Amino acid sequence: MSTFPLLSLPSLVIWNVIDNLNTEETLDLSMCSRKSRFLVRACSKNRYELKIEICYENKLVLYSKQNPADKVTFAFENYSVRCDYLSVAFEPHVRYIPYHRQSGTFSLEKEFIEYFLGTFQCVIDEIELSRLYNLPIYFRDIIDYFSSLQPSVREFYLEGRVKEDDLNYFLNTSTISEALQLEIVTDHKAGTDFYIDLYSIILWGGGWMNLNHFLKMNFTACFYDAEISLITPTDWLLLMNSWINGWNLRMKMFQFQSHEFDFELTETMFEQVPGQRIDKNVVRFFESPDFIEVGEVLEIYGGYDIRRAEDGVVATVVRHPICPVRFVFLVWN
Amino acid sequence: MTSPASSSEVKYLIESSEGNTFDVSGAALRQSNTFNAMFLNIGADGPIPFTDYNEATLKKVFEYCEHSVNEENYSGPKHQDDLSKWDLNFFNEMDQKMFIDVINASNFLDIERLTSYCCERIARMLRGKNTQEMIKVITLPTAEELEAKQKVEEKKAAAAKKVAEKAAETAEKTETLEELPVQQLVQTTRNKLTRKYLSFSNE
Repeated sequence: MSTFPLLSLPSLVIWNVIDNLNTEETLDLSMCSRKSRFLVRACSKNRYELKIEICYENKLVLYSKQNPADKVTFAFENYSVRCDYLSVAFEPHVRYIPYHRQSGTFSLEKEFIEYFLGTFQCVIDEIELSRLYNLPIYFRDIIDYFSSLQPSVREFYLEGRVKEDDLNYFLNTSTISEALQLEIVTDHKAGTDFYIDLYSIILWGGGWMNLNHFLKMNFTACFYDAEISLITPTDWLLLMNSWINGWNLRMKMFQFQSHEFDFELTETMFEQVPGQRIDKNVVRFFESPDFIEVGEVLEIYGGYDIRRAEDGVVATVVRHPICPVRFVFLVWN
Repeated sequence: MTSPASSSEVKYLIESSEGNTFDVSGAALRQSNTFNAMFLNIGADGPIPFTDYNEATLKKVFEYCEHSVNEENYSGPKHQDDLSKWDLNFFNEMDQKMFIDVINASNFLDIERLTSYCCERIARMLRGKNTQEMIKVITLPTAEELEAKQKVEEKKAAAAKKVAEKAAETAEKTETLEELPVQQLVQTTRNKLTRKYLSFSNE
């Protein structure tokens, strides 16, 4: 192995060398010495992002902003009894930290996070917090910890059983700048403090949500899925009426999916809302906002057009062309 | 010999650290952003002094510049595998010392293309290596070496401390005689006399 006195070169040259290294190599170089860490720190600003997953195993993914595939993943085993789904089994490049005395307490993960934030000056872009597997971690402590790291995170995914108080605490203390995904079971009732205003909201298992929850939300794009929904056909018509009267001005797309909802009945009731039914033979194309898929164009047949009272903007409510148990509520430009 | 011209025929005289001078074409020199910023518009009276670098290094750097004059405009670093045979020969025939000198000179002269290729070449040495292997490549001392070094330093410090203590002891003795204030000295003598007197009187 040939040697080379890298750290004796001028800083500009070293930075240029670091530019040629991928995320994993840059991380390894930063761990060589205090000087190498300092040099990596000096040229890494705004180049990396961090994703935190707290689940049956905890994962920290440090990746390049320009090329997310250029990443290094650390996975921390949480349980002494080995789980079958550990990423190390199917992702050979994951750096695996097996079960040890402090596992499950999140203490080692915190050290890693602080190292990444300190060395790479990266932003925590995405947090996934599953409550199904991490009962020893006190929910509010971890929420407080994330809030202390940076003022806001772009995307937050919350999963599991969350009590009403905890959900309120989460919504009131966490600042999410763009996207929220909830896949939770909760006893939450929409109160005055339930207010979400985000670019996108994805609600898996949203059976706990009622009309009041929706009327307190603002979003550009929303996907809702529930096996059994609290939303009734009358609620859906109320939602359409609310939009006409100025609810959720930023909305571009709302996809409502439920297996027990009576879509056919609701469609027959559309005339109760002021608007115009469009013939099924009329085909229109809707360019959906970047959401679940980027640059998706939706082909819709017919539907029911309504017009916003304030500015005359037109929206269409129609059954999804492929999925019959889904309404799409599209707002045209 | 030198003039503020942009024509490629113009030759500039370069002075190395040994005080030797040699010719470089204007076209080659213009690849150096440092040169562009300093001399291109105002011209240079006499040889341009790049006296931090020796003649061999500067000649090597400008050899590269002369060669790449006719290449298409530089558009970001190329992968080493994309380098031409000439480029590869150019790098391969340098020993490590010359390579380091060339990087330093290229960095100072701000020749983007050459610096990038050099850096890519260094990055290749680190590619695919873990921290321990990198430490060996960039010749950092290992943990054991650091520990051994620390022990030697501790021993040295202990020895130095002993010497210092001895010196301090000696100085203290001298100090008691030399540096006591006169009044204190008088008092001490008086006390001694009193004690002597008292003991005498007691007898």
